[in-house]
Amino acid sequence: MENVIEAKNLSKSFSTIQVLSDIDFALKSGELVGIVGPNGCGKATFLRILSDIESPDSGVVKVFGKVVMIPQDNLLFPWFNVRKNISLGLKFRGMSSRDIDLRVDRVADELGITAYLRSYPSQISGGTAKKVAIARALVLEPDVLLLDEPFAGLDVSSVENLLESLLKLKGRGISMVVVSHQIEELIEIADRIYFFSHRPAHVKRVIDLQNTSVAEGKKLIFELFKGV
Amino acid sequence: MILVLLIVFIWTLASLLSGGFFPSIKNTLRFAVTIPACEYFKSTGKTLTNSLLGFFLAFVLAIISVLLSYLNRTAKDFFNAVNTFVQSVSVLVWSILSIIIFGVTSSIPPILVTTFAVYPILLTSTLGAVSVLDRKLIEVSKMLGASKLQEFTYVLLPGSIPYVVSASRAAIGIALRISVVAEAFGASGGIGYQIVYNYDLARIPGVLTWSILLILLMIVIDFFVLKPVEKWTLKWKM
Repeated sequence: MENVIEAKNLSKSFSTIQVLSDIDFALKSGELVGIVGPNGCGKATFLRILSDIESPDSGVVKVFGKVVMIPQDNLLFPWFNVRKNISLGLKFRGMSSRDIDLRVDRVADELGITAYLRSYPSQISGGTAKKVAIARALVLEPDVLLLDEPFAGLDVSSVENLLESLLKLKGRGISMVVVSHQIEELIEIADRIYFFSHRPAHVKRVIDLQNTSVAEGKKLIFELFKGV
Repeated sequence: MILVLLIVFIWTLASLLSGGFFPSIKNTLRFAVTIPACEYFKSTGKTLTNSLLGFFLAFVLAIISVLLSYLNRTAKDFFNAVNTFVQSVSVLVWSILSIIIFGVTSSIPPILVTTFAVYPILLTSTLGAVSVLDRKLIEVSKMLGASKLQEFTYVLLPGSIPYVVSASRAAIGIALRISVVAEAFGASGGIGYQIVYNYDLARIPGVLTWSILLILLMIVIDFFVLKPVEKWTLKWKM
């Protein structure tokens, strides 16, 4: 499989605080990679660099294809309804209203949020809002999705539902990078997990879950957490 | 209700203490019914037109100023300077200057003076709203491919509306009060003109009648228009 993202020796500081230190990372096409690590170690900064919102101080990021990031707090526009929120990226790109509607309807159907298209963000649950944020990214037909804490604040059934949706997207060949503290959920869907150390974060270990059982992977990660 | 009773009490007291120079409520009402209905409609319409046109002009100018300030750093500095300048000039000065320029019977001075009085309020509140808007929303719009203009029209402007509407509530009140002052200096009609006209003729019941009409007009607009609009936009507030 070809790499869709390659990062070499990434480092990043904010004023005098070094956040990332010499990170090497690769994401293969169709792969779902998890990133875990202690609080505040720079995982979100790493995603922001991959999505080109931040620039690294040193190192190189090579992206082959369209990357869209889904932020932790969804960040839906409260003044637009769900349909308008999802379609905004397409509107910015100058697509016709008819084509936008068709694409929004297809993605909403895929994620099971058609019933909420006319609702406003304040009227939907956290789980649905997360799906709307994913739909907003999916209509842009990305090659890579970057998800920051997608399971945060969701109840058990919403997490189950979201896991199912992510697996469907993976089945469709969309590559994903998922930053999460919910290790058990992440292990269920990830092919590999990058474990980041304390700040300044570096890659402490990469766990290949295809050659490791779920129980073993879980044990490994918990041991790594104990060690940091 | 307590406020109404207090006003009635003070009014009655003032009338008694002034030995009848300050008219009683009864005398004022007696005078009010002698004014033809068409006179009320004409003057109220004139004041409303002046205030709303002035407000609208200020609103459009404020939005354009904020847009240009957002797109360009130099424009931002320029409009900050304009804001400070407009704020520091008294309404009295604006009124006299515009009457000198456009003439005493012109309808333009009250509109223009209202615009000058309201513009700084709207500009300051809109700039403030833009600055407190969640920067992450701008980031998301950038990520979705928005141009600078699209960022403004789809994110900054709608995000600012609840704050701008709140400011507009105060601004429309000011617009009504200011346009009346400007009308008082000219001779183009309106409630302000009627107040001064009655004062010049020493018709104090007339002064009070038109003043009460102005207060009622402001209460009606605030209660039936501005408050519902503000409530409707609050759901957008972050």
